[in-house]
Amino acid sequence: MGNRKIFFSKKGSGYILGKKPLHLIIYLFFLTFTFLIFSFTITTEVGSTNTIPDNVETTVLISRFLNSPDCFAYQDEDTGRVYTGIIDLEKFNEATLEKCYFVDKDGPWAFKLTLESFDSNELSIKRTLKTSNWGARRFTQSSQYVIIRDKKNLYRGTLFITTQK
Amino acid sequence: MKKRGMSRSMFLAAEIVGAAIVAFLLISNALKWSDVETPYKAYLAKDMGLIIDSIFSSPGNIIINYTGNASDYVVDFNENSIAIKIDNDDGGIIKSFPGMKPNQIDLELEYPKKIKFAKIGDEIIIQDVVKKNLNTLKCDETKGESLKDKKILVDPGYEKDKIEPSKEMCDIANSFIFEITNAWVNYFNILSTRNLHEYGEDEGIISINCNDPSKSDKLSDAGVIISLRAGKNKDTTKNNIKAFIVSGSVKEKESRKLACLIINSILENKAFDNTKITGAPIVPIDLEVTDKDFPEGIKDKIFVMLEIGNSENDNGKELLEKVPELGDSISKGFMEYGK
Repeated sequence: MGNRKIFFSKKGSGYILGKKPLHLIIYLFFLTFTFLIFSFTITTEVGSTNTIPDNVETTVLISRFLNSPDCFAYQDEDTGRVYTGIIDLEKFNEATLEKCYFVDKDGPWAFKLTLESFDSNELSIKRTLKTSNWGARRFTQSSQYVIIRDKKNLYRGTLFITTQK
Repeated sequence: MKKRGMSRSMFLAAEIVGAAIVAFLLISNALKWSDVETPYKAYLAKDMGLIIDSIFSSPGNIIINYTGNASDYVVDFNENSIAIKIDNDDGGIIKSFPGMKPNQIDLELEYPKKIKFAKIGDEIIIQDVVKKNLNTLKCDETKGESLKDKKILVDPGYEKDKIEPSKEMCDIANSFIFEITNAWVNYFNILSTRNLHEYGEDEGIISINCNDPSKSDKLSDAGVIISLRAGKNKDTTKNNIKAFIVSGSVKEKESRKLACLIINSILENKAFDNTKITGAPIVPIDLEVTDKDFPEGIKDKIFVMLEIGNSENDNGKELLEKVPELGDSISKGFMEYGK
């Protein structure tokens, strides 16, 4: 009873800003916070009930770069045959990457691809491409031996693949 | 006293309203996520997203029969995401995937009983039934030259080691001639390695005399040569449609495109849906080393030799019996090239 006197004017003409509205704000803030935590927990829980292992998804995505004629895989114009694992140097550029890995800025899985040739006497190359959603976040790195086709010649090379989730 | 009471009531009401709103949001959100179907929807979205990733990674044509059950949902595909929804008003569970610009997707399947994912050439197909043939070729997109005023030589061939002409091939050739002369090819421009029936000029029709075994020698004027042969493969599991072209010819590119369009036209013909065709390659041939029976003077002309079916195999024989359908398909491919 005593506390109430602090909150209301004696004439009863209205309320004085005091503890009660503050309690209300804290109360609403707490409820909102609870709501957010609750939603996040449930969303995470539901999402974790079925998960594709990261390496499965990245393996499939990386094979797009190496296998698809719309990405970097060499395709024989005469026969139409696609040579998986042979990178056509003419195609290894930003324009091809943008077409073959079309993703929003906040899209899943970003890649940085660095193609290097160690047939240094004949072909010296180090070319790096990044997908449009690449950012400065934590990443993992792997590499793969490839064959590089440049002007009808074949060279040994390595593709360094940096993956960012 | 009354006003003070009103103010207190206002606080109480605000608290109740606030609590009610938050409780409503919590409960509706909890209901949404705790719905037993939500994990399955999330599973379908992820699984189908992975299948689309796999299709984009495929070096060639591919058809995948999806084994998951999505018959209770609306499946909405966009260029780089997939949403599984209960109905069209439901926001659904969304899974993003990196798209591919030449193969963009934008379609919605409502309660599909079956789903097939396919990549045929540059086309991505997601439907309950995929009618496209896995052997379909990706043809050169450059425009072919007009064949309207070119002399067209039709060679129905002879069966090897026989003087008698092949009846089926001759009938297919006549069906082809009938179709193209009915469209836009002038019958004066038709030549053949066989003698032609003699019709009056005003009759406006032309056909090969299939009963006359003698060869014609009017080959040199031809700009385009279409040869037809029946396939004969000792491997009875094979029933192919092969298109032979001349390797190193100045018209190799044009010949390849014509061969590609003719093969695709045959594969797309619904009349052959129940006939198993095991392959449809384009084979470049070096004329100096081949043992194939090619007509003479083909080196630097637009030339396609079609080897159809397999006379050693039931499916192949069945294919060869479909004379008007084959003539129609070959003519469609031909006209698509030369229109």
